[in-house]
Parts: sequence; C-alpha cells; structure tokens
Amino acid sequence: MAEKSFSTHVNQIYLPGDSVALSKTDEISSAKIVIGPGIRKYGKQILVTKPGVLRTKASPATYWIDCHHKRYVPARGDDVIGVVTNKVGESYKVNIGSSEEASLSSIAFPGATKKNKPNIQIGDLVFAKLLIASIDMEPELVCVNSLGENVGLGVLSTSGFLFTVPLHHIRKLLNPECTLLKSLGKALSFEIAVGMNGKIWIKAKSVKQTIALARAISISEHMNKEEMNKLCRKFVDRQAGF
Amino acid sequence: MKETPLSICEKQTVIQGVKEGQRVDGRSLSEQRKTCITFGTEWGCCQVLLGNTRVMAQVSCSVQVPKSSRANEGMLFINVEMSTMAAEHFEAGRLGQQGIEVNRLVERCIKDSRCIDLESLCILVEEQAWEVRVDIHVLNHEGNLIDAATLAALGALCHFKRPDVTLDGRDVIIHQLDERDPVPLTILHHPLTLSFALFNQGKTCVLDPTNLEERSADGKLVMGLNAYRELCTLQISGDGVFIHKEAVLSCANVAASRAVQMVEMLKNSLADDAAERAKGKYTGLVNSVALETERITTQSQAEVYFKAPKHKVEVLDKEQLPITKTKLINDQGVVTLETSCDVSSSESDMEIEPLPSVAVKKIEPLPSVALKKRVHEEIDIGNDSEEETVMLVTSDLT
Amino acid sequence: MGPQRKRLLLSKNLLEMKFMKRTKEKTEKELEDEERQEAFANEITSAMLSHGSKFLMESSYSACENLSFGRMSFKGANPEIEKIMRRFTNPPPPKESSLLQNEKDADVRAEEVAETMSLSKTISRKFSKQSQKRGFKRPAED
Repeated sequence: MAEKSFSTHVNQIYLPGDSVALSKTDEISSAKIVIGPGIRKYGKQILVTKPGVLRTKASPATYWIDCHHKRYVPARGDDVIGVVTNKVGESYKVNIGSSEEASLSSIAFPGATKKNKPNIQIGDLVFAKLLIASIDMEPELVCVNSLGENVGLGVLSTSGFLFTVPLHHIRKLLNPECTLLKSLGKALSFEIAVGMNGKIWIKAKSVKQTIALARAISISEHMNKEEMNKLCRKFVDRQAGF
Repeated sequence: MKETPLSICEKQTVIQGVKEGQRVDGRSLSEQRKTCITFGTEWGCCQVLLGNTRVMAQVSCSVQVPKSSRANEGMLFINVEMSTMAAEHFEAGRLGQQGIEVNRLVERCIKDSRCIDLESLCILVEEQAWEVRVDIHVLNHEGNLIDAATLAALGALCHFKRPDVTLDGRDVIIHQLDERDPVPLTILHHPLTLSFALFNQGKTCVLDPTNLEERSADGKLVMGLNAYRELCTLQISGDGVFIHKEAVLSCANVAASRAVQMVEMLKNSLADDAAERAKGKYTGLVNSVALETERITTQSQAEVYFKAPKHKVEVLDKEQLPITKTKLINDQGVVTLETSCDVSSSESDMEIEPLPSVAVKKIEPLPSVALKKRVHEEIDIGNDSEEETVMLVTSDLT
Repeated sequence: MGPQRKRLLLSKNLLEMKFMKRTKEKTEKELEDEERQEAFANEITSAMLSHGSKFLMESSYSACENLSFGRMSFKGANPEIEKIMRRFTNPPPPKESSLLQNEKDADVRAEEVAETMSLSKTISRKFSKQSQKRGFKRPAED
C-alpha cells in the first residue's frame, strides 16, 4: 500500500501490513520515537500489525494503533484485575484473562513480610500491576510500587461486583479527558477499580446502586462526550428520585 | 484455554440481586433479552441474537438411502459447532459437556417432538429419501445457548427450501433451483426451548439467564414448548438442585406465554424476509451487523435500561399470569412432570450467608518520622571532629 | 537523573572506615532504590531514551495514552483510596525538599549544630592569635 502523507494519516484507519510514515519533524530530529501497541518496526519500515486507527502523541513522539479488543494480552506496567485461582507455595495464581495465568508473590503486598502475609482466599479479586509481561514467560503481578508503598493496589472487597467490558472501553474510561466516572462520583458514593484487562470492579452502598452503576458504565461504550453527560444527568435524576 | 473462574463477588452480587428482584443487566426476573432473528441470502440460513449471544444455523440437504427400520421417512440430523470465537474455553472440533448438552436438547426439542414431517421427505420407499442436516454454529457465548440454538435451528428449518423432485417411472429427477421453485419443509408445529436459572433453593426462577447467571445459579430448568402451549421437552440440571412443584408450573406458564410470542416473532421475521425477497432486495446477514451497532449506541436503548428499579420484589409464584394449564402431550419424547417433581419436596430454608469481607490491613506510613530520626542520629555522632569534616563533604555532594 | 549529570560518589576505601558506617548504608540504599526504580517503573526513563536505536517498543496502552490510575473512590466510599488519589493528582514535593521540611521541624537546626560544634571558631581564634604574635603577618609571606 502506498504511504500516505503525514497530514492525512493520523486518525485514519490502518490495516495490518500498512506502513506508517513518520512526521517530518520526527524523521529529522534525533529524539527517540516510541512505537506503541499495534505497530512494529520491520527492517526500515514501520508496519501496522492490528487493524485500527493510528494515533500519535508528542514528547516523547509516540505512534500507536487504537483498536477494538475483547481478549487481553498482558503488557508490562498495566494495572489489571484478576481472580485468585490457586495458591502455590509462596505465590498465588491469578487469572487475568490472558492465555496464561499470572503469578503474584504473597510478599508483593504493602507491609507484607515472610511472616505477615495478606489473607487471600481462592475466588478473591486482586488489583495488581503487571511487572513481567513477556510472550515467553509467565506474567508476574505486584501490589506495591517500587518503594514498597501502598498505592491503591491489593485485594478488592468481596461485596462489590465485577463485570467485563471491551478493552477499548477501558481506555476510554481512564482517559484523563473522560468525565463519566467523575460525574457519576458526584452523584453517588462508590469505589471502583478499572483493570486494563477489561474488568471493572465496582462497589456502592447497595446492590441496587452497584448494578445501576455497572449498567451505566457498560452502556456508555459507544457514547460520545455529550451522550455521556446526558446519561449522567439522567442517572443523577434517577438516583434523586429514590 | 481455561474459562475465567467465577469470583466470589460476582456470584454474591448475582444471588443477592436476584433475592431483591434485581438482575445484573437491569431486567426483571421473567424478562427475556432482546431477541433478533435474521436470515441469510441462502435458503435455510438463520442467525439469532439473544442479547449478546449469537448463534447461526444453516440447513442443507442431500439424497440418501433411508433407514431400513423407517423405510418411508427422510432423516433429520442436528450438529452443533462451538468454536473458540464464541468463548475462550471452547475447543474447535470438541464439544465438551456443555456442547453435548446443547446438541442433545436441540435434538430433543426439534427432532423428538416430530415437528418436521419426515414422511414428506421420502422420495422412493427403501431407496431414496432426503437427509436434512442442521449445522448450528455458536458465534458468541453470553449465556443461554440452548434457547438461542433451538430458535436458530427452527428458524433455519422454516426458512429452508429443498429442490423439487419429480418421478419418471422409477427415475428420480432432482430439479435445479432455477428450473423449478424449491419446496419448503412441512413443519407441523414450532417448538422452542425457554431456560430458567434456579436460585434460592429452586424458589426463584430467572428467565433467559446470562452466562454469569448460569454460572452463579444452583441449577437450570429447560422447557420446550410450542405455540399451542404443548410441552415437549423438560430438563432440570444442576447438582443437588431442589425445585418446587408450584415453581415448575409457574415457569411452564411463563414459558408457554413467551413461546407463543416467540413463534409469532419468528413468523413475522419469516414473512418480512419473504416480502423483501419478493421485492428482490435482500441483504442477508449484513443487516444484522448494522442492527447490533444501532442497538448499542442509541440513546433510546439506554432509556430502556434505565427505567426506575421497582421496589417490590417479583417472585414468580405471585406473578399474575393467565392460568391455563399446560397440556402434557404423552406422545413421543415427552417428559411427564411427575418424575421431575419428585426431588422438589424439600423445604429447607437455609439462607446463604454472605462471606465475611476480607479485612484490609491498615498500613501506617511513617517515612517522615524515620527520616527525622536519621537526621538526629547524624547530629549525635558529630562529637568526633574527623567525622564532622567528612559529614560536611557528604552534605555538599548530596 | 540522566547519565549526562554524573553523581559524585565517595571513595570505597573511605566508606569502609568504621565511622562511615551510617553514610555507607545511606549511599547503598540510595543506589538500591535507583536500581529498583528502574526495574519497576513502567514509564520510559530518560536513560532508555538516550541510548540504543531511534525506536522504542512500548506494549502498554496506558503509557501511550497517559491513562489515569484505575482505582478510584468517590464521596468517601473508601477514605484510604481517596487519600492515594489526592496524592496522585497533586504529587508531594520531591525528596530533597522533604528533607528540608524535616530540618525545619527539627528541634535543633543544622546551622545551629554547625555553629556550636564547629571547630572553625577555635581554629580561627588560633590563627588570629598566631597572626597577632607575628604582627598581622600571614604565614605564607614568611
């Protein structure tokens, strides 16, 4: 396929095998260029490997493909929600929806030591960060930051609710420009954990509220900003009506 | 690949929600998901959307030698395919327990209820007969595969047309589709299944369960009915599941009224398809894709889900439904109610206690205190003159 | 902390000395922290940017799209999480200034310690005595 000129190629649909042209400034400058998911460097060419829309960002110059996903492929640094399926020695096996189960060491929790381990049952949910995510290795999770501090990762309460949405919807919700969660938070008291693996855990005061919030979040998948605002207003009205 | 295990909190929420008469997707207990039936360009191709569950069925036929035991009948063969595309734990080519259950129930509902007149499929007694084959492909699994599969199979059979056949003495002539108009199958009645998930020791039945509900439930009740409110299949599955006689009867009533509506809907879709074909502009399954995006995006759909939650708990027993007794036809392949109700007499009122939530340990962050202490310590050792000079150097460097 | 700004380090021999034990521990901890930070951090560090090929692979969407942290709490549902959220939105001042902060809170200030404990006064007195003896002449001029 013929290369498109830069001005036209951002926010355009690309198919696997298409080549991406860098912008003039990126090509000349000596600064590093980051190639995100969906793009690979093949010899001198930069090729697309997933069908989707090309997105770019400046400083550091980043190129990636925004595409529709349902199944999760682990990526290093992602925060994910997993279900604890087994305990093997000093570590837990956690299902994060990827092809292989991830491992989570029982001392990778804030304040945990060899003697003082967190109390985790099989079937519990954990919100953890992917430390290792490589195609050839078992993914590894941690629930602390690099300094061993509590940063909001860890076991999630069993009184909440877990549901699954497509991966691109997660990215939309976590985008700093998306106000859906914040505006819902103005109406209701709730806590939420959004995992990059498409899982959302949510807990409100009652089961009814939890279910209503979960519905509101999952139907907003294809909504634009205005529709989301409208949904929020409607939601607030409904809650006030109780 | 393994199926994602069910977490404690999902199961608890579903069970608690059902107890309060609230379902996870905002439906009431006896409400079905939005059903959509579409037909392909080929004869006998039908796709059914039940919420996000998507099943496609394709009917084909071939001429075979009839079975010697039923020499004057054609044959009906039902095959279910579940690929990894539908759910990650399905394996292509291997049905597994769930697949066999779906296959068997579709067979029981459609084949064993004798809704297809097989005698009309015979061409020459003991020599030639049509074998009709239904291939059911599960495209997306979001729960209640059985209902979607039976509806797709029935829709495909209703839509299907076989080539016309004439006999010239003992010579069989099969006409091409452009030579003579193809002949539809003779369908005597329209049986479909309706599934209920059983919660709360079989006291609460939930129509058209989603995948999550199916997995959280104690058991499942599948009912096969036709538009004449005749029961042709009944199955209860699940480990040690109890069900009350009244619950079975009220489920049968709900199912019967739903079955009438579903058959009506199927007939309407068939009529629409026929009308479009007569006009000469049929788009096949392309429509169904566009239809789905519309279903997700439109604001009107959001309104449907956001109707104010009802305060009163809906229990099936109290439901105001026309009380017409379900007729039990004791014909071929019909299960009588008595046998299945034997297990139901237990009245145990055990409440499922919510598991204690895991106490999250509080962690006292004390980095600032520790730092202050360290500063003091360094000051303490300042008596040594040598150390002092070194200290000045280090503080310069850092 | 790019490699272009090399840090001054104390010599190993000096650190081996007994009285330097605490300083040694401190520097070791700093080094360890730095190493850990490199191992854990998912963001692209400046060190990664300054060597190797022109292109870097990044498999995570969260780094590309600057996604916010997924754990949130609203209207006091979980005060602990809300505290962490606030820390994410307005991060605490960097480490150096927090050290200074501690110094402000300290009962005895570092300058005071330096003032009272310092030998500079006695030594300067000594020098001044000497120079007085020698009639304000500097020793170097001898």
